[in-house]
Amino acid sequence: MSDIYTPNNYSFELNPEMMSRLADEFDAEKVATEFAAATEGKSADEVDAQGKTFFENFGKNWMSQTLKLGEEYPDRTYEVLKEAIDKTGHLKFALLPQRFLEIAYLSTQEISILPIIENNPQRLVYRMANCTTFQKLKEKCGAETANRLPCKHACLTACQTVHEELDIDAKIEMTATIPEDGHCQFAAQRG
Amino acid sequence: MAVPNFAAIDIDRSKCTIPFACKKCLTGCLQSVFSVSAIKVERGRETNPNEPGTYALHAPHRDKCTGCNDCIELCPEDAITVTFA
Amino acid sequence: MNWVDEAFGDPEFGEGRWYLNPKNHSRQMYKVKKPGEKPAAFGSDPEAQSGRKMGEIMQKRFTDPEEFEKLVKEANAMKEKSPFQIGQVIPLEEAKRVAELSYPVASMSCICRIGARGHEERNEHEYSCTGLGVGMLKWERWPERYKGGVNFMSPEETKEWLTKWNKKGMVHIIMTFGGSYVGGICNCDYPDCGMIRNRVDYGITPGCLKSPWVATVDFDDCNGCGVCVQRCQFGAIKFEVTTEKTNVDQFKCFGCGLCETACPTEAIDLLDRESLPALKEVW
Ligand code: SF4
Ligand code: SF4
Ligand code: SF4
Ligand code: SF4
Repeated sequence: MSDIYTPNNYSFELNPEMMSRLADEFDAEKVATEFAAATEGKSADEVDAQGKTFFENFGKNWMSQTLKLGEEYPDRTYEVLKEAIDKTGHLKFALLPQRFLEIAYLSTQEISILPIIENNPQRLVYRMANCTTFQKLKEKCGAETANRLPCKHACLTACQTVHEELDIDAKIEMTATIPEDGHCQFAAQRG
Repeated sequence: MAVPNFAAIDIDRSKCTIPFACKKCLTGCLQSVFSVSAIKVERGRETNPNEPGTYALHAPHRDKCTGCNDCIELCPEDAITVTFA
Repeated sequence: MNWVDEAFGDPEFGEGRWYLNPKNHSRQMYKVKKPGEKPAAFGSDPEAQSGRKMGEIMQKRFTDPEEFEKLVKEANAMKEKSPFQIGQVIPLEEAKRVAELSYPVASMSCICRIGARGHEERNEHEYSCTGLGVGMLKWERWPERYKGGVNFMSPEETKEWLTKWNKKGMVHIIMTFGGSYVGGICNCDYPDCGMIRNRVDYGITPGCLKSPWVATVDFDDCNGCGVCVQRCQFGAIKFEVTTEKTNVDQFKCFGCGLCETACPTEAIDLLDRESLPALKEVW
């Protein structure tokens, strides 16, 4: 640090340009419309099978791009986190995947925070309540299809991908669902 | 209940201008009567304690003052007055 | 069980103690601002707000002592709706358990000592307080609050660091920073720690609740050296001339365990507070 009495100009916030790039590319309305077109007139079983592939694919792209842009657009919070990881030899789990998951959801959902239920050396748990993807699926494909949560494959795969790409061994689980609990919840348990 | 006879401690801010740098009364009072806080705080930087008027001295625990007058003797600026009614 | 455990504990974790509930250690890293929303001003955080509210109450003792008594009673009774920082004294071993649960942990300078003594802590050897959680990644927003920076520590380093301050004679107080969010393990002493002082001098309890333990002395093992007497920040121990042993007033004891960690003959034990009928509701 140079002079402690001269203001630093750090930004601790997520870069807005990064967020709008992700928002455009992974727009909920667009993906729900595509999914509706692809599954029109199909049986529930077919929709389930197609939903899995479709949203797994979406989730993987969504997180890969998040990882790429999250690195391209650093902020001071991230820089300090990386310094803290280097210094302590700890913190990589849960804080690194947490950052990228926050970016992924905050950029594409109408939320101002991603509720983090647990973040400690063993577990990372987060929650999505008013999910735009779910709303859009309801609009475009009907409540029945939406309630089968094809979109969960996107979240699960995104969560899986972030841990794989960051080389962290963790087991990913869905521990609550919107139709049953009013929110979706995902947990990564350290292996 | 009447207000007890606590010490009235007057700090002359025109004399005590850099309390965080001076801090003689803060460290010297047996009863830890004084406290100091920054009154000019800006985002992203520390407040310079040597710049006059950036910090202010208070006596939040004047109910613990015994009237020993140590602070008055320690103060290089004659900024403190302690009086009991 | 004390009211903080009832309000914020989870029986599944850490014997139901609030500060061992992982949920109270978890927080998001980012908040997206609405268009045009200004960054938070200095002093708008829960810690500063609670400090100002307490300051207003404290001012009343000079102007209206009866009102002061009334406000203190109210503050003590507020429980989980309390706008004040909640703090509880915990022994070293409990503080070490928190070190395993909180991410990240960073040492930093003590805000109370800055205010009360103009005391500066400029590097990792001097820092005497700990901040917990992701907010620590953003300390550079308000360097004046942190004065000197922060030092991120691994769980093992944190335990060693806590032990160092315990040796020096500091009481560990686990603190919330807004609601039930556990924001710090403070290392405190009287009179510069505001929380201890508010409780000991003015009977304001929320910031300095007693620990789930109380000290007890085994007279057979005590050699009367008096080491423990110097350690107690709460005036709970005295040396009893007649018996040539030390004596703990368990009603005054806060269960910090400082006497226990210093006793050369291991004559002091910490008893479960709730095992003593007269003390189980004394927090
Ligand atoms: S008179 Fe003595 S007790 Fe009172 S404020 Fe001064 S030094 Fe402290
Ligand atoms: S000793 Fe005097 S000048 Fe120094 S801080 Fe105290 S009141 Fe101010
Ligand atoms: S430190 Fe231990 S041996 Fe010494 S007086 Fe206290 S209890 Fe007794
Ligand atoms: S008697 Fe021991 S455990 Fe109790 S408050 Fe004093 S030092 Fe702490």
